[in-house]
Amino acid sequence: MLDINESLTKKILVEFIRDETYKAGFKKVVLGISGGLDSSLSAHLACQALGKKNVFLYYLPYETISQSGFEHTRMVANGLGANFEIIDISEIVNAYILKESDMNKIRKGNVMARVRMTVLYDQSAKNDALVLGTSNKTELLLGYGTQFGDTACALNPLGDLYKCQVRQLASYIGIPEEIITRHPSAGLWEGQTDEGELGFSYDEADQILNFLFEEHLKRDDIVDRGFNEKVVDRIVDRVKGNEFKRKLPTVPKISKF
Amino acid sequence: MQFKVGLAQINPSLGDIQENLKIHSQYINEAKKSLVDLLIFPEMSLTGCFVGDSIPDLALRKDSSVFRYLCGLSKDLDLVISFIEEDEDNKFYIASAYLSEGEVIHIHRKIYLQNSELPNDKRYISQGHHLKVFETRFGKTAILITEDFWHYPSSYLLALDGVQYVICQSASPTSNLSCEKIGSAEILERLNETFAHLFGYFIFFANRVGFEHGINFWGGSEAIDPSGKRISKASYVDEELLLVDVDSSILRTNRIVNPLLRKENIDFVLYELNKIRERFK
Repeated sequence: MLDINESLTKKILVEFIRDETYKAGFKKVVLGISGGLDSSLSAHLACQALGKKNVFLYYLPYETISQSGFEHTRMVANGLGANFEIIDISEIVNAYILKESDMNKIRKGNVMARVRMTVLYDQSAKNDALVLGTSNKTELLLGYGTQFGDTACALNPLGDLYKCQVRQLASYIGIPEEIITRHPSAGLWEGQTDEGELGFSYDEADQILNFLFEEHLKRDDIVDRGFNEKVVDRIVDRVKGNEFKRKLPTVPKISKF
Repeated sequence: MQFKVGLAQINPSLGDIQENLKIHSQYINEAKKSLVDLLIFPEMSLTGCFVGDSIPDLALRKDSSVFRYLCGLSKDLDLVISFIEEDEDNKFYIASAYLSEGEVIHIHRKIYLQNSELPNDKRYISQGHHLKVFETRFGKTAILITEDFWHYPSSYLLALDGVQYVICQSASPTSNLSCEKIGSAEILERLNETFAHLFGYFIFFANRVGFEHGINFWGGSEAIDPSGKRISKASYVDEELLLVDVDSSILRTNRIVNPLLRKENIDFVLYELNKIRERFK
C-alpha cells in the first residue's frame, strides 16, 4: 500500500531537482547533512541531478558531536565526492542562548535549527546556489521540524514521501544499511530520537497518515483496523495543530481579489 | 488509408509563448523529417498549465500573429495545438485548434474544467459547451481536452456522431506512484483502451511532461486502435516525439465485428436522461 516504484520515483525526483533549480536560474544547491537517512538520500539525488561539483554539503554540529552521525556524514560526503565543509555552530548559538536563562531544550533546539538555516542560506549566497530541503512527508504532516529552521528551503524533493518510502528509496539507491537503520534524530540534544519524542514509531505514523490522507478513512475506522486510539488521536492532533507550519505566512486579502 | 501521426510529448515553458513556439517548431521540423501527416501537441502546449493571473495576457485570438504563424506551419502537415483562446466577447477558454493547409479547420473549447488547487481555470476560464465531429483529410475527427474525456458522455456522443479519430490532448499529472506504475497513467490507459474498443474509433492521446509548481506530468502518450489494441506508446516522464503508423481499414473491420454502436437506441437514452433530469429539478 505504501510501496513505491523505486526507479520511477528516483527518476522523477532527480528530474524535479534539476528542473526546479534551472528554472529558478541556478545550477547549484547547498544542503545540511547530518549522517541521517533523509539528508543522505537528498544529497545523493542532488548529485545525480546536478553533478557532484554543483552540490555543497554542510555538516553543522553544535558542541556535542554525535560520533556515529559524524562518521556517517563523512561516509556520505566521501562516497558522493561532492563539496563538503564542517561549520561548527556552537559559538553562534551560544552567543544567544547563554543570554537567556532557563531556556528549555525545545527552544535551544529551535535556535540551533534556525542558526543552521542562517548558515545554509548564507552559504547559498556565497555559492550562488539554492537551499535544498531534506524534510519528508511524515515529518511535515506531523509538524516535526522547526518552522523557518530545517523546513526552510527553496525546494524539497522528499516532501511527498513518507518515511518508509524514503527508506525504501534509500535502500534501492544503495545508501549504506547502517544509515538506513540508524534511529532517526534531529540531533538537537544528547540522546534525542524522533520516535522517542513523538511517542510512536514512524512505521505506525506512516500507516495512520496514509489511511487519513491517501485513503480518506475516518479516525474510528482506523482504530477499528487495530491501531491504538491514543496514538491515532495524537497523530490527528499533531497534524491539525501544526498546519500553520505547512503554509506560507497568511496575508489578509484586502486588495483586488 | 495509411498515414502517420506524431504525438509531441513536450515540456512547455510556463507562460512563455515565444519559447513554446520554438519548441513547437523544433518538433514540427522533426516530424516533417519523419514524414508525419498529423502532429498533435498536449493540452496548453503554447502556454503551460498553471499560468494563473497571466491568462488574459497569454490569451490569443484567431486573428493573432501567433496563430497566423502556426497556420503557416500547417502547410506541410496538419497540426493540433492547444492555447488560451480569447473570443470576440473577451471570454477566455482552454482551447485546441486543428490546423491544415494554412487554415483553421476547427477550434474545440474545453468543456469540463479541472478542479485545481492552484489559482487557474476557475477564475478566468469559461466553459465550452459543444462537441463537434469535423472532417479532415483523414476522416471524421474530434478533439477532447483532458477532463473532457474523463467524462464518458463525451466519447459516447462523438461515437454516435460517427467519429473515427478522437484526439485527446492532455496535461495529466503524476499521482499514486505505487510499486506497480503511475496510478493516474493506469486509469487513463484503461479508459483509452475501453473507449476505443467500445466505441470503435482511434484514440491519439498526447500528454505532456515536465514540472509546474512541483506537479509532475507523466507523458506516456499513446495511440489505440478501434479494437482497443495499443499500437504505439511513448516513455513515461521524458520528452519524446512518438510516431504512429495508422491503418484506417481497421475502422471498418471493427464496426463489422462490434455491433454495439449500430444497436444504440438514442430515443431510449434521451427518454431516460430526461426522466433523471426531472427527478433532480
